[in-house]
Amino acid sequence: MNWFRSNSLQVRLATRLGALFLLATIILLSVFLYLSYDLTDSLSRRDLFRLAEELAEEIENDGRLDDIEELIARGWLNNDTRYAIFDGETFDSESKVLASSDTAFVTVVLERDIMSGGTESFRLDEFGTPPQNFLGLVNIERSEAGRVAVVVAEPEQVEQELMNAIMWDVVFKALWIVPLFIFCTLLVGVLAIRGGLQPLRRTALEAASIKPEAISARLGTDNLPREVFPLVYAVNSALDRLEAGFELQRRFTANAAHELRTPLAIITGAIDGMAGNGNLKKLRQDVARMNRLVEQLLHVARLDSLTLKTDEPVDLRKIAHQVLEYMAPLAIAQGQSIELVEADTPVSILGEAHAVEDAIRNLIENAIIHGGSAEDITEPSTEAISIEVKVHADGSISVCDQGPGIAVEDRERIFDRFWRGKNAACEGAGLGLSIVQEIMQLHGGVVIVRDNDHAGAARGTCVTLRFRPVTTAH
Amino acid sequence: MRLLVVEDEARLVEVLVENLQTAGFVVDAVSSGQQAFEAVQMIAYDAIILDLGLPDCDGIDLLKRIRSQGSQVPILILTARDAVEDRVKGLDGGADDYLVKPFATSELVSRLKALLRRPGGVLGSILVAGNLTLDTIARDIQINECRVELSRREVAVLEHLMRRVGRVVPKELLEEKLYGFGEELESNAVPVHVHHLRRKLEQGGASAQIHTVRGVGYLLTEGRP
Repeated sequence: MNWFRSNSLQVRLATRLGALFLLATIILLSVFLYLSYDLTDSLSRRDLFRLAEELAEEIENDGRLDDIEELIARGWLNNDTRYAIFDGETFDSESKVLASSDTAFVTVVLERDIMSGGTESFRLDEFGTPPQNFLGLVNIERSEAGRVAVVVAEPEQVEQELMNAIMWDVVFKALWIVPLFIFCTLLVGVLAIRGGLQPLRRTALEAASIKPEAISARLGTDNLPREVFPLVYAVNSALDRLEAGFELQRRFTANAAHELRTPLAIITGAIDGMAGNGNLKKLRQDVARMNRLVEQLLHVARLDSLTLKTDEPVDLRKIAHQVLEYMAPLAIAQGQSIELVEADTPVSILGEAHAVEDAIRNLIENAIIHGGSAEDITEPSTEAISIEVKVHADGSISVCDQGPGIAVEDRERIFDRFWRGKNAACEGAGLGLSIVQEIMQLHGGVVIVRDNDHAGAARGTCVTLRFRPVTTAH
Repeated sequence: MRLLVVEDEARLVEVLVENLQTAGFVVDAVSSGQQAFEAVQMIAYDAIILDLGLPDCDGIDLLKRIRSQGSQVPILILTARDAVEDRVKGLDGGADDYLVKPFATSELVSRLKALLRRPGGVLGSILVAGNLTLDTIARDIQINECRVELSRREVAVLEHLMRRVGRVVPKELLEEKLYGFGEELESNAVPVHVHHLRRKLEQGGASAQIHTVRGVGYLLTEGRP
């Protein structure tokens, strides 16, 4: 009976209401039938009473039954009607029969020993020709000849026909209302549920719009059914607690930044102040690497906990310019050259400027670290561009290097946190591309990695970030 | 040149003072906002290095207080917070530059020198990059104390590159500066001037090199003399 356990309130209510109505109809019908039988019974009895009365009225002074024709004409008597009128309040075989329909009836009545005074109804089975079931009544009536006992009986069939007629009328002309009524009630019930659940549906929409960027949003409680209110209230309190947790994480990130950076600044400064030899140079590189790792960890933590508004239109060209301005000295210090190629018009994309900046900076950092140093380039004196940053009009930006390239089988894994290439000598924590990937996911963009197929580049990698362009052209 | 370091982390102060002294500066250090404010009242420092996280007050407030006194002393902010709002707040509050911890001493020194080189700064009149010097008033350029002849526009380009040694000078900025000479400017004027300048520096034996960041601008590195 899965149907009964359905999770839809509408189905549940409809099935239960339907079952209830079916049961109610059956009970109603039974009661109705019982009452109908009872009613026909009492109707027959009433008829017989009146017949007895009428008969008694026609008794004359002399005890004769007068004017039978009139009774027949008025429909009180017919061929099937049996009657016997005895003198006195009781009767037995000695009693005087004042009038009777036939002697056989009188005989039967006397045989039955029905009467001992007062009113009594009786049944007479298989009587007369052809044999019929009779319903009879004995009553003491006043007449002009004094008190008489009147016994009347009518074939039951007549009553049965009457009852059937009533039943037919009721069942086939009136009972069709019941299914209609059931249907209407179900309809009203289902509509009421639908209407009642409407605010719930709205609440669901509100809940669906709650994202990390909009953690302070709460579900509205206006027009909400009182029954649902506790649920919404509980959800809102849960959101309060979550927001507090988010806030805590955010504060932790900021504090961690402060706590880690100051000691690192001390170490960096102290090493910078020492007189140099080979070991110190290596130590300096180690500290630089640690600085970078801490920076990246904080970036990752911030991306995890921070909320970005990624649907502001920003100019990708402008951002690329800024990043190149502060990254170029690093590239040049590494003996590399860097170039920006851009579309002629501003390239508007949807994003958060600083996150986009972070993503591009990470790519350029990777290109500088992995893109091969000056010694690798065969002719350092030529103006070969080793890192090329291209801003495309379709809202994407690519960073191409001439490093060793990334093997096809590794391209899935380069975005994993802490994954580093097989070349263990290269520095870096393996967080850069994971940060890039995360930023692009937040922006609804994609990262594409392919070989550098630029003319003259024997090897190398191109990483392309495809952002959502601003489509509404003004 | 006398600097004031405002920093509450004792160990960092120690290291900073030592490194800055090695770089040739005279350094005073204080550890609270109140001391810093009093020191600025008494001594005319050439530059101030200010940590934003101070025990007794917010660095930004101190910055605003110093500026409200009408002081134009170059101020470089040190901060452990690199959130954008913090940077903007610092620069809006009247700081001239900021540096996020941790930082390399060489970076700090070059930023300080850049601040001091600005018009009005103590190093304003003579710019130095390796063995190359430029007297911004006499418009005199020397490599290893030998005079080099440059055109007016070449001097203008070189001056801007030397004011921001080690940092990229956007091409648009140079174009703007050259327009100031009132004559018509060819579309490739900047590359042409840079090309000539580069050749003359090379011929003169300058350690400084001009690098092209195509699509963005140019930068000058000091090189080893």
